[in-house]
Amino acid sequence: MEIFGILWLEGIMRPMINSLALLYQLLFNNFGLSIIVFTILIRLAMIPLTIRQTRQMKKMQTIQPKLKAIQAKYKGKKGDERRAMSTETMALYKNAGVNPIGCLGPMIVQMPIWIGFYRAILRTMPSTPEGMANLSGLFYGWNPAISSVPFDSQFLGISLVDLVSAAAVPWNYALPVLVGASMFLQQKMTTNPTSDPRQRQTNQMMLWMMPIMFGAFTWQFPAGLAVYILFSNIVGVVIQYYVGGKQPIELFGRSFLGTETSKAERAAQVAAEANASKGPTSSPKESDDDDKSTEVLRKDGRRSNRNRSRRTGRRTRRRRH
Amino acid sequence: MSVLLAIIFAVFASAACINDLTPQGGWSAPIVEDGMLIVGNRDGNLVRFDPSTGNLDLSWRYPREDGLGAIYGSPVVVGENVYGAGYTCRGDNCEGEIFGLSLADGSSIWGLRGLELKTKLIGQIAVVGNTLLVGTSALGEEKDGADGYLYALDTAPGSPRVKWRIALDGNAWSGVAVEGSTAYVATMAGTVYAIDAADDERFDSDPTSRILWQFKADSAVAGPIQVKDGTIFFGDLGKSVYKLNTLSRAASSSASEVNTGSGEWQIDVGTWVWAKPLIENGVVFVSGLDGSIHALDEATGAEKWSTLIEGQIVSAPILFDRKRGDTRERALAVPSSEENVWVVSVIDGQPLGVFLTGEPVKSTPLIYGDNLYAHALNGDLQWFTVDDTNQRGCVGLNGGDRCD
Repeated sequence: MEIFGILWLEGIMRPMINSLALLYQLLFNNFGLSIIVFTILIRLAMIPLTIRQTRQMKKMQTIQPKLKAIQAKYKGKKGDERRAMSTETMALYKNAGVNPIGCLGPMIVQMPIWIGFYRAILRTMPSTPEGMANLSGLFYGWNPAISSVPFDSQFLGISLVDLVSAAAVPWNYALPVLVGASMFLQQKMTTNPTSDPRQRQTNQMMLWMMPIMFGAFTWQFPAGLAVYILFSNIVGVVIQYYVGGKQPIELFGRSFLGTETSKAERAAQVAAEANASKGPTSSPKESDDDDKSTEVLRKDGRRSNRNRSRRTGRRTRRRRH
Repeated sequence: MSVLLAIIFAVFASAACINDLTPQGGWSAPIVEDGMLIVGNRDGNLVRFDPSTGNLDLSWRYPREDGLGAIYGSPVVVGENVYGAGYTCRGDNCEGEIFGLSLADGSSIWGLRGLELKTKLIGQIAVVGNTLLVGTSALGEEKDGADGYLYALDTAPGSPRVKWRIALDGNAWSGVAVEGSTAYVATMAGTVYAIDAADDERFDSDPTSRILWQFKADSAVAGPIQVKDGTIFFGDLGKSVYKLNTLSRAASSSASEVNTGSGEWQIDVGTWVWAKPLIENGVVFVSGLDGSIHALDEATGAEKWSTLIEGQIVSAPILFDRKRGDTRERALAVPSSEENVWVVSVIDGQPLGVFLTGEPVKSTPLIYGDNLYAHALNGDLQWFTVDDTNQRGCVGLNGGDRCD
């Protein structure tokens, strides 16, 4: 366990604390700016992970209909047939290039960084004698910021060390709302549409629960942490825009107005599922094609969806004839 | 899964938050009064210990029930009374209390409670005549107030009465040091104030006129100031130790104006200094948060020797005599935040032994009789024979249970 403690301290905490302190000195002794710039740098450094996570989620979404078809095929079966289902599922994952826990991996990797950063903020601005004494052992000897301690915790009229609930009006209300709203937006951008009612329900729950939960938690967080979460979300939205190709307005259009885009995408999903149910074990080539079509859908947004919907429409008409 | 991770993060964050914002205490050094030891325990109660029996006096305790949270400074005795201060914070809501007690039974001399302030009361308190001086951080009840204050209270029984207070430019964690009627207090903004604390009507209209001079150090001053014959010694969090003449200072000066020609100096010791410097026989002993001890020439600041112990040194060591063969030698007992109280020679800094507390010690030890008393961070009071460093006893300062 000691080795983990050392890794945590030397690999995450000390570099973060020293970077925050250094940025504080460079950015006009402003800890708020230091937090914001460092948040942006961290999010940028994690872009490869974010991209990987997004791709994995997309791929996972693409094979969902086939996955459900396999599950339906083996429903109620036991013994060897269950094993066959596992084999078939794994083959599907393999062919589609999906790691079943691939979308969770990056998130789990990011957790220590989030926690470390949050801890670094608190430890860089200690409010107790113990915290201040401990801080001395966390600075690198060469760091010139060491003589600037204690850092000025004021930013836009709020103390970054104090709890959000104790901040002056309107920040005490605005920060939780902003954190919740930015998290909602980010969540909305990362959630892929699905035709599965259960999955849709789960997505909806997460979409609302996470922002509300974090908004409520923010009330009892130090303001510095709230600033970090807020800007982390904002940067996340920007990154997601470029990586995932979803635009906020488009998202809200789908979410609240039930626009043509939403209907078209839903139709495309249904069609994809219908195709999948015809042949649950598609060839690797088919899988790749599916991936590509989904990517086009994401990148081109509305126009691609329409095209897809037209294709679906044609199929429907042909069947009628 | 994402929700689960979010919950884990939030729970972790909240728990760490509470831990980071709540003072832990355990820095209070014991004092001796009428053969009894008085010390602030980790719960924030002032308690009394009888060294003759090795037991805590359970009838003497303030507050009687829940403690104040944390007591960092040592109590101060004036006549028949003892004074102290403690505080706690839940989130950023701090509750502090400056109290005065009867030495006889430990009851409050200021009604049910002392002076309650929504602030951190960290530094050592001091007394000038019948005035109790206490440094504070910013007051929660005054949102637009100063970052810190020096409070002057009447020590008389009755209701706690504030005689005057002076706004400071930062949190006064260093506590107050006194020489004659002059009080010295330093802030985390790096300013050292010399303040006339005498009872004098000419200051009544404007308490700030009590400020004799201010000195701006290179960095924050968190530790106590040592006063000796018209000079003060203190360290800052910018690795410097200062010696200043108190009588010839301009109304306002800074570190760049340290007058080496008149015996003042500023020395870089390469570490944050929190513990109060000690002075004996022309040598200043300075302890650093990196565990280093430096012996400096009092006149010039030149380093005679330095040594290193394990762990941080947040409270001042003590000087004491110990037996070595048939002779006695002078030594420093140095409390370590890692564990134990280390013994080093005042001559060359060589290690001479160790009082094995097995626990971190963040308070200055006390020598009384043949024993050294150490208030360990786990809340125990341990005592050892000075000459052979063997442990003689141990008692928990919270409940009075023996731990030896």
